[in-house]
Amino acid sequence: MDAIYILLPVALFLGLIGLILMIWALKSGQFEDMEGPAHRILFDDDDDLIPGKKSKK
Amino acid sequence: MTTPTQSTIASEDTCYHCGLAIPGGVIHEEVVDNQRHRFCCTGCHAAFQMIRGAGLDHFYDRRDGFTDRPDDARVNSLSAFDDPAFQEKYVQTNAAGQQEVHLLLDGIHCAACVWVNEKILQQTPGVAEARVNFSTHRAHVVWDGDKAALSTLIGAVRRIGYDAEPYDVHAVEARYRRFDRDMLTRLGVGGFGAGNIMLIAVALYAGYFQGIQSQYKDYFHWVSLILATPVVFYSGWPFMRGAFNGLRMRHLNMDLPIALGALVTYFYSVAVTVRGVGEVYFDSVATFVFVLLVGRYFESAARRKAAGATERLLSLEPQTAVVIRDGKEQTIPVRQVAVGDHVVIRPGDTFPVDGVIIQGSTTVNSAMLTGESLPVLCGEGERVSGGTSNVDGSVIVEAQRVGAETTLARIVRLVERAQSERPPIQTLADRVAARFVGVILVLAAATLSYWLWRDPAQALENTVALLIITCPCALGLATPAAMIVATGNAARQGVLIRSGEVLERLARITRVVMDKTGTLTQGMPEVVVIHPMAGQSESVLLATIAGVERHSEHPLARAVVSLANARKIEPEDMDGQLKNYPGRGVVLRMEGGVVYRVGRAEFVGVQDWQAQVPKHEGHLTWIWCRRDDTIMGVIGLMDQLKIDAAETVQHLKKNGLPVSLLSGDRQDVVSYIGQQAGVEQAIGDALPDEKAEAISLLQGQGQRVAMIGDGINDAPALARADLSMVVEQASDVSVATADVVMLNQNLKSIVTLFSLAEKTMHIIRQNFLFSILYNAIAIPLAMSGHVLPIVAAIAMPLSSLTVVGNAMRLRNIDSKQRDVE
Repeated sequence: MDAIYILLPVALFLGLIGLILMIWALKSGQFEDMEGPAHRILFDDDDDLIPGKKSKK
Repeated sequence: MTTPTQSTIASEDTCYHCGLAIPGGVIHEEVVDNQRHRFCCTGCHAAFQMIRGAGLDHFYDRRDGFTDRPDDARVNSLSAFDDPAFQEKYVQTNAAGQQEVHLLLDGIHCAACVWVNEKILQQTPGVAEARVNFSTHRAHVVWDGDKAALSTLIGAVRRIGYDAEPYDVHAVEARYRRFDRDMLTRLGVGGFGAGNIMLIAVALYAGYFQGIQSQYKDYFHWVSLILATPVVFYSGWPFMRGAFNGLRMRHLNMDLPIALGALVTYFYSVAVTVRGVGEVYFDSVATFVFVLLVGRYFESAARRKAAGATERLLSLEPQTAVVIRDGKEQTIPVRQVAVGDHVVIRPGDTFPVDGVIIQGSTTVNSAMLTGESLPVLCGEGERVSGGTSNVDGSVIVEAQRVGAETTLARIVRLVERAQSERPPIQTLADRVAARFVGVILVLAAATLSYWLWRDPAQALENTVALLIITCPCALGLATPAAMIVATGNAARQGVLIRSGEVLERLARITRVVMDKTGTLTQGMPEVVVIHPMAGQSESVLLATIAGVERHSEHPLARAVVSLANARKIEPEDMDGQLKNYPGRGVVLRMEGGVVYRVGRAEFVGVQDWQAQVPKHEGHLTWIWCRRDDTIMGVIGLMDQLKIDAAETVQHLKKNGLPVSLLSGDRQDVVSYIGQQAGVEQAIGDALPDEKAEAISLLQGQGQRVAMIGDGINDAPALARADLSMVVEQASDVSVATADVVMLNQNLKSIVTLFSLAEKTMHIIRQNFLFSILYNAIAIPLAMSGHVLPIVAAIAMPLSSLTVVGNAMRLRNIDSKQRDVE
């Protein structure tokens, strides 16, 4: 049972990492636009970045 | 707004850009990849060319609906955005010396809209960064102020058919956003703590039943203590601050029992942990703080959403005026107009200042300012007030009163005064909380004295147990849960409720006062009588008048044209020389020599016209039509009741809410409309301050008054009333003071809203009852020294769930249910 003395802090530490990640995401504005990014990936506006593909313009 | 059409594939006779029908004879075409695209106007055509020119024509394949037609007037008069005084409020300069602005975009409905706006902005010279937020419809633009003006950015967006206005993020938004982040961080910490403590508590409960070695128990207690501390003091801080502020203001609120409960439970458990004897309640206190915080968060999110939606209705467009200075027309911001300036006002514009017409004549629509339903003719030498709109003639006005002196500014001051006089109300939750705290303290004193007499060793322990078990958890959730569900329900039905306590005020209203023009009536004239003269047919008469008036912006003309459209009568295709006589009528000279005159009887040349119009109740405006020498007939129009007006008034009356009509229009018109709608009382000829007085008078009689209006003239009365509601397309002043904004034309939502408010209060009372019932069971247990952590752990969440579940019942109340009753 002594394992609990190590396992519990380890579990809490992992949880804490999750919490810190969440706070970081919040601070860096990840929750500001919940819809846009899902659509943004579909904008074909990177033609000139793809090798061998000529931009339409 | 976009058209409701789902398809984006324009057919041959609709515009490729905006999807509206292409008027006959208009040819704007463009052939792209062997496909012919047709447009309804130069504006749409230009928008297409601009989007295509920027290499963004993919947009048309991807969008989910049509785009709006660009509005010439809004594209061309943008210079006022560059006024430094205006920009000071909206434009910031960042560290790199670039300018930053937030633009509120109107017309965004799909990802393609976001894309095309971003691209158009990014391609504007000088723009460093442009990003559109799909959820909030806001663009954040960073640009080089030397290379592009703000007006250029706004112009770029408007030219492709969207609308953009600068948005002051610092006022409300920034505060909300900070609050939001703060709350979410607290929630994160609370959730982390509560979740982990709960897992540890499972071990402790197992130990409680099966036995546990004291070293493990102590260990679990200490870990729980470490986890619970930030939950109570960081996550629970909003409650403690609220309770403390309440105490300082000598006002007991819901935060007090919450803070008290949390602190007592926490410190008791700390004492147990340190002494190593007894059971801890860390799991209860952490869960309880977390759950209440979730409730708070959703409540504020609902409020923020309503506030954001209301703000979007307010126009931030800087007001401009065209003045003649040094013999030239100049567009300047309204606040720079000086007394004596000559101001040019074109048809469709709003009069920017109070003044006297010195050249020209026009029809003035003062519905917003005075409540008069019909536009009146104003000629040289007559006064016009700022805030009214110019219907059909170009005039020059000499400014007489500007800025704070105008009628409009005076009304705004009246509003502010009335608002400051409104007493704050004590909500039901606060009253319950105050009593709750009182009762608990009395019970605690009783327990303490009883046990001191009976068995002093147990006295402190049992008193604390009582304070722990009297969980205000359900009590704290009782109101927010119901309010969130109810405001969400209302929002789905197109009614925005500013804050939760509005519902409580709604439920206590005893009288409803309504404005007439635009609220109870359509706010624009409608054809009610078509009377062709002998030998003429109704449809020919309608087609002729509609044909002549086709391009007129006059409300009477629009009414005729829309009726013709509704009846599928094609307006006669008449081209010729059209001459408009503002306030009197129009003359159309056809190429073949035929002359049509449409307008007032005197203008058209009808003798003794009163005898010729058919008998009809109410006050109609008549439009005559004459072809050469033949009088073809007459059409009667009036501002009619909205379809559901009478029914709404009746419903309200049945629910014990008598309705008064309060209008600035002529008494006889108001009386007639009032009689048709079936209201108790109809007051006409009321000036804005008299309207507010009328409300005060009713309040003096002990009534709690809800005012429903739309116009500028209603604003002081709205601010004075116990509750204010505005209907769609209300003036900015009114929207800013309103507690409730209705986004649809459906008057019956008023009835639904009242019944929703009543049901909400009913649910809230039930919720209080549940939580008191729970306490009534738990308190005796605690007082007799029988409370155990397991009881608290089961009973507290159970009572909270009951309350939330009960509140969810408000989701399904809708207008349909109302009809059945």
